[in-house]
Amino acid sequence: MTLWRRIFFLFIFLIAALYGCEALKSSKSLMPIEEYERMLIGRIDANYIGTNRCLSACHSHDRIRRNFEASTMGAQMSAQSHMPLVNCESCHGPGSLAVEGITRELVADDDQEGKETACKYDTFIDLKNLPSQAKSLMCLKCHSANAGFNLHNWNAGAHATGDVSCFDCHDVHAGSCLITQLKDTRDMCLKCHQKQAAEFSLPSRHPVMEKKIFCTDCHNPHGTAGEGLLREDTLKETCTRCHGEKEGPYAFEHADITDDCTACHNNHGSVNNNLLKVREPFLCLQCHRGHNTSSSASTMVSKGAYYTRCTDCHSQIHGSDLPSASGKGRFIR
Amino acid sequence: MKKIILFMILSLFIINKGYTAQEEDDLKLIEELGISMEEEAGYKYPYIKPEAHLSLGYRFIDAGSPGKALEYEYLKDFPRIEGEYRVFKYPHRLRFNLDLNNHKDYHGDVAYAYGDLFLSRWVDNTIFHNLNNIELVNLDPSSPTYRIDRKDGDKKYGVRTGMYSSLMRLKAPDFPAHTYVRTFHAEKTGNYQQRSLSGSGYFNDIERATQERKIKWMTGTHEVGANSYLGHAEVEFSHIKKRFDAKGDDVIFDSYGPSLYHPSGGTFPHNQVPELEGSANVIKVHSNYNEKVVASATFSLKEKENMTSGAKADIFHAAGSVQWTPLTRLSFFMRYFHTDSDADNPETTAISDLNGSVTNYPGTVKSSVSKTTDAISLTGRYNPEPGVTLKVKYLYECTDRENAEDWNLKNKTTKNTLALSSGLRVIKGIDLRAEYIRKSAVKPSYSTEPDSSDKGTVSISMAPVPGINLFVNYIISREKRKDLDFSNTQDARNRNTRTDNLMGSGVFRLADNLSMTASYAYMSYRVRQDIVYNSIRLIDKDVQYKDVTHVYSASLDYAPVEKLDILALVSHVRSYGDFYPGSGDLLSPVSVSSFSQQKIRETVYSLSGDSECMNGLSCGMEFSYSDTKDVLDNDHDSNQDGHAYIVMLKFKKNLE
Repeated sequence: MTLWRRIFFLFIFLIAALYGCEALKSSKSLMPIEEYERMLIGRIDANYIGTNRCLSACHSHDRIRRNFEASTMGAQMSAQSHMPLVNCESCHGPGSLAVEGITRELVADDDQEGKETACKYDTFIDLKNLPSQAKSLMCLKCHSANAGFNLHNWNAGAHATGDVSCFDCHDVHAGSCLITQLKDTRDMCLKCHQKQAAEFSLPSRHPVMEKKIFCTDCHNPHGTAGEGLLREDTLKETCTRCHGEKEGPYAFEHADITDDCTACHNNHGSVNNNLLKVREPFLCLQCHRGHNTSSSASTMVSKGAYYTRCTDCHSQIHGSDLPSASGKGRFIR
Repeated sequence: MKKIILFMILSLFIINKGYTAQEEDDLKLIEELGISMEEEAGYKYPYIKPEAHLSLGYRFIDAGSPGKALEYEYLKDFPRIEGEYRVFKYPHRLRFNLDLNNHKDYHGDVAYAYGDLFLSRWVDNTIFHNLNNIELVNLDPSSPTYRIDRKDGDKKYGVRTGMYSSLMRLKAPDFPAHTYVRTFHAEKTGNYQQRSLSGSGYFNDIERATQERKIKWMTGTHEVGANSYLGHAEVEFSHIKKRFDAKGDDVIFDSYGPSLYHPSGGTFPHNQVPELEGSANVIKVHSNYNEKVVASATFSLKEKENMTSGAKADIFHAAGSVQWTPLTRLSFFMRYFHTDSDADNPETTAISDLNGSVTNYPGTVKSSVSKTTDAISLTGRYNPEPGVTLKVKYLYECTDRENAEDWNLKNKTTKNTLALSSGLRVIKGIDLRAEYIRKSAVKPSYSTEPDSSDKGTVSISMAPVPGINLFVNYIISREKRKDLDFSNTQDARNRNTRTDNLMGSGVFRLADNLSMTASYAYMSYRVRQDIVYNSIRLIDKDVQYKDVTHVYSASLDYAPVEKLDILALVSHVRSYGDFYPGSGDLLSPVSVSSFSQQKIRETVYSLSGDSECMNGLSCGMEFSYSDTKDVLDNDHDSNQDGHAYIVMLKFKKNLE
């Protein structure tokens, strides 16, 4: 079985490599999709005028310009960078209509009078009122070739299908640093995910509200192969990024229930210790028969031993490599 | 596997679609943009001043009786440093950020890039977690059969967890092809309470024990990969190594009484933490995102091995998605996910006692469950009008298990999920969302998996007047299960659950310098099911379990004068819960329910203020107080009363 999988994997790799080599021969860097932007503003006679006739001409001391030029995308404004040129018109559309009738003389006259010559802003793409998928497309047209491949699963992901666009979390004019700061992610996520905000306030919780860990430690908001936008392929792989001591495989497994950590744990927060969904012993009694309750064992002391916390004795409940005294896998050793 | 091959070929076909036609369009585009590219070549970067600030302070802690109060704070006095430095001098970009509360609680983030050719980032996020010291209670200290051995008294426990991640990426000049190295380490050091069963481990000799366990665990993941844009598709290949190292008390030895395999007893290991190794090869392929049809596919092959027992697992994942947008307002999405997990655990195990004497346990290890899971979902989204979204999603999942009979599980479980959702902008300022999800399962394996479930969500957000934003959300969920199977017990049947979540929040901008936020959440989880007790197959019908929680919070942001900002916050959580066995055997002479009752309250207050005190120097103070109350004071639960204070004084200066 394993050998078959290896052969299959090798087959996929070879096809991808062959396809890639063939495609590489005639490929080139991405270019902005000019026609798409012209279509969005509704005037196919609009044309691109370049940054030097836009920011440099009218907004030379604008904070937006400074921040943008200091950013990753700004670093691509130079052809020296060998990347697709990203400038104002890459997102706002062709600017020829906005500067129609504006001459150098008019700008100079206005400048002498201490005022800034206004562009016709309504001729740009109306970014704020675009449908969410069109907003995202403004970014995706270039970020298809995303270096980190973190948008690999964007298109059919929960956010893309749920009318969430790049603009909802990213503001390219917020500052020079376009890398999202981890400490900002809490508020970005919880402004929509209010149920999770309440769960993170419960007595047993992952410390997201305290900004000690972050939503992105477990989730990839840009889309994932599985459900729940989990950072790894499966829930267990996501949890064991940090909780590696519970990963296994073990000689004595807890069947396959441990593949789904949420069978027992509320991963955001819970009123019960250790993020448990329900308290012991009921947690275990949902699936397992309880110990003796009658005859000699029905005394008060036996109930105290058997029905406070099952994990007092079954302390290796996630899996064990050592047998119990009876030689079986009871997770007690 | 035929399905996978077919899916993969289809994916590649879609990716390759229309390649030739697009090529001509792109060439035309380059030609058209040629002039502007020349213009941009003359672009000169302006001088941008570096930005920096530094904040120094001191945290005073009063944690006389912390309990669970401020659970994630290292409760010792310590100087605090916070600062940031950013410099941009093309082609160099450097950003450094440090937020240090103490040596066990800090966050550092450094990023450096050289043009677009080299990019690196290193993040160190270290936190401290105060852990419980559970007190075992023996209801009859004279009992020879049921005993406790508490070796850790009032010892305080805590673990420092350092999460380090790094990325280094190189880009080819003049082409979007990249190679990268990415690492993630989670290092845990400290001590926690180890609970275990001593005695012989048989029912006539039960000794519950607790003791300190020192740990130094490291989970490390290293990934090397390369990706490139290849015309109409992008491809990435990566190789990942993962390792878990257990140091410290990775094995604990204690004496055990006589048992079947050890008639004279002995000193044996228990609660052993195994070392693990794993690796993965991953291939990702996706088409350009700006076409009518967009597709992505991921294939990964993983191997894991337990270095202590030799247990192994091979996992193969295949996943893919296709998006088709026939009309601007209409999109369809297809997602497929396949997992093939092949577990291989040893057939026998052995124990070496403290003297090195080995005892073999023949034929006592059940073969682990291997399984194959396929999941396919189809989603349609339609926007008939601006501000209106309708979405339908269907998900089919199928799990096939090997060795299922040994575990009293079902060989095959299938699940169907249908979700209908809508979003509606009623008028400007009022948005309404509603969702209904219906799930059904055939032959669910575990008792907690329902035969059917229904979930409804409705939410409304309003901005009735400028300065006021309101949000209300209600979620109700019900699950039903009719054929619970407690192995060979046919009379236990039913399980029903109900979940209610109500959340409301409001943001009120009362004045230009004053705003208030208030929120409330009600969470309720109720289960009613039949449960079974062992020896006489005692069946307890319709046992109830419930947890009810209220969460209140409010905050106030006030700037009474220029350059003075005050932020106050209070949150309060009330929770209670119980379970209600019905059998008299469980209620007398002491009710089993009493071991599980819980009623807790947690209140957190915080107040902070910042003001410019002199010549660009900002002075600030932060105060936080947390109080947890175990209202029932139940000796059998893990809850404890506690309170703790943090007061921090800080001075901040923007540097030029």
